[in-house]
Amino acid sequence: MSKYEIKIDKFKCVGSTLCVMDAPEVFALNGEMQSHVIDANAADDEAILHAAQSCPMNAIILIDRETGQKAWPAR
Amino acid sequence: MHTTEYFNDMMTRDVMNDPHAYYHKLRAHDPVYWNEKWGGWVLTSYNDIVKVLRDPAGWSSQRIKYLGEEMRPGDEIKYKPIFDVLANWFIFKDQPDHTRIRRLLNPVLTPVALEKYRPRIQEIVHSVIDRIEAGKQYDMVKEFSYLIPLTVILNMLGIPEADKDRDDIKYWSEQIGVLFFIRADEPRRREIACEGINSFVAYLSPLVEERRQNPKDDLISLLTQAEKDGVLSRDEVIATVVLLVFGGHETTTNLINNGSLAFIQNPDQWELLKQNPALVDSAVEELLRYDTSVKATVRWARYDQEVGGKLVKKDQRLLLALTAANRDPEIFPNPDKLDITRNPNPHVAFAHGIHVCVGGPLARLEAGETFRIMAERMELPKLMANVLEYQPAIVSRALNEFPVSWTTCPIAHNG
Ligand code: HEM
Ligand code: SF4
Repeated sequence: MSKYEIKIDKFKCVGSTLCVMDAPEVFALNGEMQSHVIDANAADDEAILHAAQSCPMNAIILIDRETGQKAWPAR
Repeated sequence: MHTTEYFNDMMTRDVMNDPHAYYHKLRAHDPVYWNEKWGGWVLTSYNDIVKVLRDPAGWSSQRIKYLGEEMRPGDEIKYKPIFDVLANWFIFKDQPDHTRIRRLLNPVLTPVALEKYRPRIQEIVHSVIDRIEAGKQYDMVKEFSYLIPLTVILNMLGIPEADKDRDDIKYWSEQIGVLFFIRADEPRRREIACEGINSFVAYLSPLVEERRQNPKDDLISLLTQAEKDGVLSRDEVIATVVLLVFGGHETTTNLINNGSLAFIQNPDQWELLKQNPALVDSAVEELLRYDTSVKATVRWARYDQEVGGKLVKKDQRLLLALTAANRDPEIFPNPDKLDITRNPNPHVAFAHGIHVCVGGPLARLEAGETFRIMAERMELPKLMANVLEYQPAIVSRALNEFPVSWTTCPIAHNG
């Protein structure tokens, strides 16, 4: 099971598709052409963090399941 | 009631000086408006604009291909630099070529990757502010704002930042800008753009060749490495450098100017920022929304399709008025009010979809550091003109001159 709970901020996601290209097993675009999570456990933690960090809008929020703390973005 | 003539003329002095009032009227009149004079549809509603921006399969960005179709036989040779260089800009490419270049650059321009430039950006902002003296008059456009983004992007690319290099590059960029930004009725716009492209390419070629031989830790070396790996062509390397310089400074310069003016006109919001420096990121988002530097972008229909109840035919073009979307009352309550605490703030200043500004995180970092340090070290400047004029352009929101003066010196900076 993935270390992260993944959330997409729908006010920030602009549908760049960059996260989808980085981790297509995890992210896909929905009918609004915004990212959504199809399977949070389909890639390793590092790949998920990497995909979140590739988002130019910081729209992908990662919560550490163990601590409940926000792991990304930093601020 | 306004006439068709009023709505069709997007270049009047009134529209330049207050595009917001014009776009409010146009949105109320017809949010998907056929502008006969411009020869395309003008979109002013947020939802329609976002829908188009997020649908690259339906709407093309290939501006140079369409430019080619407008030209007469022989023009392609006459305007060769436009086709060699600008046609290789990934901002004007569709998938999959766009994706190939965008994915190469995106990783080095993400918020996390840019952190390493923050100290250098702070240094540059401080050095620009250090030169300000109390009581003297400055033109923010020529003596302040552009220095920050232009120095930063040259630094990142690995281009010399000496005054001479910087001034030349600024001049050539302005020449290229004539093609896109300035009024479409400048008769020599293509010639002027070709001159700018030729001079810039002649300057860059030896520099790029040198980096090909001796790579360094800079963006030009990243591009030449991609060429060696077979990801980019030689022309694409040069074109991408030109695009990053061109896209990387005018826009952010105008954000700093337009943002400073917005604060001068809304001093309560400046005070709020001074009292709460942590609001700076949210303030930058609001300045991007409130008076955005890129007023519009263009898309071409790949097939007949419907937008906001109108049938758009294949190859017809749309002007997406980002300025209008950012003040659409359906999305933004009280849209004409500057509110640096606005949340949410889903503005379209960087567009949406696959072409969303790759330099957005950099622009946010530069503008954030600029306004944070200004608020820390300076008072709000006084505006030294009664009327301000903007460049006659459909795309860029650029002041001609922005004369200001500070009554006190900046607070000294130790560090
Ligand atoms: C306030 C500053 C800026 C604004 C308002 C702005 C605005 C925009 C907009 C609206 C687009 C999308 C155009 C379209 O979809 O047709 C765009 C794309 C682009 N911008 Fe910016 N920009 C800014 C700063 C920058 C900076 C600092 C750079 C350079 C690092 C840059 C480089 C680019 C590039 C290369 C693209 C093409 C991206 C693509 O096609 O995938 N911009 N910008
Ligand atoms: S990278 Fe960010 S903006 Fe782009 S689709 Fe993914 S979440 Fe949305």
